[in-house]
Amino acid sequence: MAKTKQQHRKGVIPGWGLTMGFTLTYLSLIVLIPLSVIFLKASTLSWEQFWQIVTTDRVAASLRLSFVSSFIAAAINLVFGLLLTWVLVKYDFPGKRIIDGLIDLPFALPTAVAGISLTAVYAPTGVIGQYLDRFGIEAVYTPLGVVIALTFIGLPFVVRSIQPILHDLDQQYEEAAAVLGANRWQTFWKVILPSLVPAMFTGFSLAFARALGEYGSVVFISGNMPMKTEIAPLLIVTKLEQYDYEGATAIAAIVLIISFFLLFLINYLQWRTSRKYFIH
Amino acid sequence: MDINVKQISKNYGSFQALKEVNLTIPSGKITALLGPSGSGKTTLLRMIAGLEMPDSGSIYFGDHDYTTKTVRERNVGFVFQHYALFHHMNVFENIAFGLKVRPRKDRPSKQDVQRKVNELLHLVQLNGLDRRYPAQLSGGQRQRVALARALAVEPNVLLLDEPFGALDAKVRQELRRWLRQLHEQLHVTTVFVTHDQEEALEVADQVVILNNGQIEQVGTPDEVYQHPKTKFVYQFLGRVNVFHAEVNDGRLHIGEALFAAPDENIQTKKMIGYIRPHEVRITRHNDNQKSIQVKVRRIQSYGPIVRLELERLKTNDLIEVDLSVEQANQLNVKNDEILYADLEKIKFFSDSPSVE
Repeated sequence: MAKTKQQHRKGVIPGWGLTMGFTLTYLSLIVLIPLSVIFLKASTLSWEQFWQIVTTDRVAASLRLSFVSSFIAAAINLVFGLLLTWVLVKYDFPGKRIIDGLIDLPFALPTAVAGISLTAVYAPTGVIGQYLDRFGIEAVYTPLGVVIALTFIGLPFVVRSIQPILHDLDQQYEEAAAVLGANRWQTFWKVILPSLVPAMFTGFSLAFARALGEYGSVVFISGNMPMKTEIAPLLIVTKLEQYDYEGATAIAAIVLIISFFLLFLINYLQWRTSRKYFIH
Repeated sequence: MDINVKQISKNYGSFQALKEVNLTIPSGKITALLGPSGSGKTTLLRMIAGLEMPDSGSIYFGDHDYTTKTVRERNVGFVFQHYALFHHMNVFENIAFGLKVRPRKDRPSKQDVQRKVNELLHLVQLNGLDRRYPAQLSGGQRQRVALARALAVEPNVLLLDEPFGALDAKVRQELRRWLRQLHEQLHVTTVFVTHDQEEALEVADQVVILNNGQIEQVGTPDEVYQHPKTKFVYQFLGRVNVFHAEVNDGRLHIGEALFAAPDENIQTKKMIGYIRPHEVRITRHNDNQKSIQVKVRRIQSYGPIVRLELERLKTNDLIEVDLSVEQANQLNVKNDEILYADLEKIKFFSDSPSVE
């Protein structure tokens, strides 16, 4: 049998070359070139210098704070965002549309405004802060404050990721579970939740990524004390203000590498959980 | 366990899905709920399952009133139209689901679950596919997994919603026969919903024909096909030729053909007559008073049958007649030939739009 040369299969929709070319150009201009500049700038440092910068106590503390608090905030959003989405999708009540609209507010609000409001509210004299104060809990100027701000800005990502999936999840799966004798808790835990896992991964990683880069809402509530409440993005700005461009890009580069690695890991987990039952 | 449905009514807003329906579903038999869409057949099925609650009336499983029991308490097997298999569970986990969600004291041991699932896999002929996910199965295989899952809980009654609706013609045929065989083995009381009359007549022991939320007729496939009680049943169960008859001197007239009135004291002026294509006899001579003159328009061969399209002289109405190949050869019918169509087997109904 003669082997025919495999032709590049032409799709039904024309313009593959044009659209792909445009996509690559666009992506380069908006994302790839700016990001690569960070690495170019950072590469003016030797490995020793780079390592020295990113392992100083202050930088390490800020990295730890940024990643840990972003992770905690994303995890909080995952739990309560799911609950909120559940209420919004499964029940009808007056004001549902308004609440649904409110979810997007953290998207739209200038982050500095959010930061100032949160600081005012959670300060020991504030509306919520006074009750926390009674239990000896300090929110403002502590890592807790950082988590609160990051939770605030991450919420819409989780809700908007899960909402369409939960909405489209057919009633018949719940009915099938009930007919087979499952109670509500078993139905939720064994049938509904596993169907939402891929969307939850997406929501979590978006919220986490957003929290890592957040600056505006955190700087007011955290107090920016080096070693205690100073987040990595703030440290970068601080370095820039001191004309220490190499230092700033070194921190930026390490943040970028770690977050790339983490997002890759999350996506891999998502792929692993979803691949087996979404092959069609 | 036989099931008794008593005076069940259900409204959705202003739409009456079921109107005072009474029905007995015999134990150990297959019952088909047959009707067009919107006839209330699926609502009735879901009500037996407990997925819908009736507005009034009651449902008995054996001697027990199950009307207010929840879906979990009824212990029914339900196969959904699109199967509703859990996508994140493999075949084994899907089938075992009903056993694993039982309260701890009733839950079978791991070995028992394994044994039960293997039995069921064998029963539905899916041995070796227990690690597959629903997305990796064909439509017919998914259907059988859904069935095995429903049977795992040893249900009082097996309910199937349009069980063959989503499959292609060939697979449908196979599954029908297979479902029948399976039933011979298990004898579990079974109810299925369908809009396909052929399917209902072929698979069921008892056929229930529904229209507009009411039962038109209940009977064996033979009874409902051979002796339809209403116009709707006649029309719904297969092809039919319709004739308008006039009442005169206590006799019915269709053109030149004469028929005895079904009722001597007939009040109406007009009646409507139905006859199936295979019930019409074709002759060359008018040998009784029950024939009308027709002209052959078209002759089509469909495998074992030959379908004649005849035009009634005078009125130009079209009549369909099915002949066996032997009959057709014997008659040697030609296009545009004038023949007699004997309507002796016609059945008359009153011409009012309401059901008798």
